[in-house]
Amino acid sequence: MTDEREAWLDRLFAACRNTFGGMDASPEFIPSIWARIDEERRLGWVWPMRQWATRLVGVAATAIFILAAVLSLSNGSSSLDIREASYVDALTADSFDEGEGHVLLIAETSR
Amino acid sequence: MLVEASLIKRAQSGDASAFNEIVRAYRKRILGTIFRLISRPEDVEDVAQDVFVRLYFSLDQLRAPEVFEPWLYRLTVNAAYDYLRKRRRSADVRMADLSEEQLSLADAAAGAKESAKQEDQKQLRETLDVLMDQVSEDDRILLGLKELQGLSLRALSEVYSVSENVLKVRLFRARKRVLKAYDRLKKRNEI
Repeated sequence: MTDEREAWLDRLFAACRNTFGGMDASPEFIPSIWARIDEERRLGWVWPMRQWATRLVGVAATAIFILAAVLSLSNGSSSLDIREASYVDALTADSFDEGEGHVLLIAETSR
Repeated sequence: MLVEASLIKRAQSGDASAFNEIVRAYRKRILGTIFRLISRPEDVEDVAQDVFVRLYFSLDQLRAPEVFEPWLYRLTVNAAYDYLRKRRRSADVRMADLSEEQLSLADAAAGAKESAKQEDQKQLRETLDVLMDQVSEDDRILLGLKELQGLSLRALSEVYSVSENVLKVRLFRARKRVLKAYDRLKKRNEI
């Protein structure tokens, strides 16, 4: 049974092998190939440019994001420093003035 | 080989007339191979052009002109494979195309009566097409190259870059799958 089916398949392949007569291309075959090659070349030039541009946009967007994040962090930390600094400065200045004044006052009274 | 190694080298160096000579030399063989692999006469020329475009852009990758033929077969197989996959993806659209094509074929057949032999051959091809549509693109191409194109195991092993024993196993399994598809279709009276 298996052999019969195998033989049937062989016969089918053999019969079909003979049905495919020699076919030839149209006269436009080679010019069409060159047209496609030129098209590929054109796309071959445009495509890397497009990829490059897309990559550039991606890199630029990432750079802007990173820059913005760094700036916002540094601004945040510097503004915090400024806030803290001004508060501490204010306190120091106050206490320094008071302390100095106090020291000065003590110095003057002791004299 | 159908062309001299020197011609391939000239084409590799960018000589357009050498490339045209290669196309002229191999055009019939490539058309025949593609016809056997895809069984769609209306698309054969398009796929063959695709093969030669691929050839043009990859000629510089060919190291030795002696392996040009298996290498060209590999390009042909790849182009046929891509075509078959695309066709499978757009199966619904193709069905619509086919029905139109069948109508036009029927019109043509009404004008010129086909001989009984041609009719038999057409039926055989249709049977084979139906069977081949049931198996994977890999099986279809392998069987097409071996059973229809008549490539030897040695030639096939150069195309596929595998040993002849591996190919024997693959061919055996592909044939089994075709027969299984035949049984399935016959059970459903579709063949």
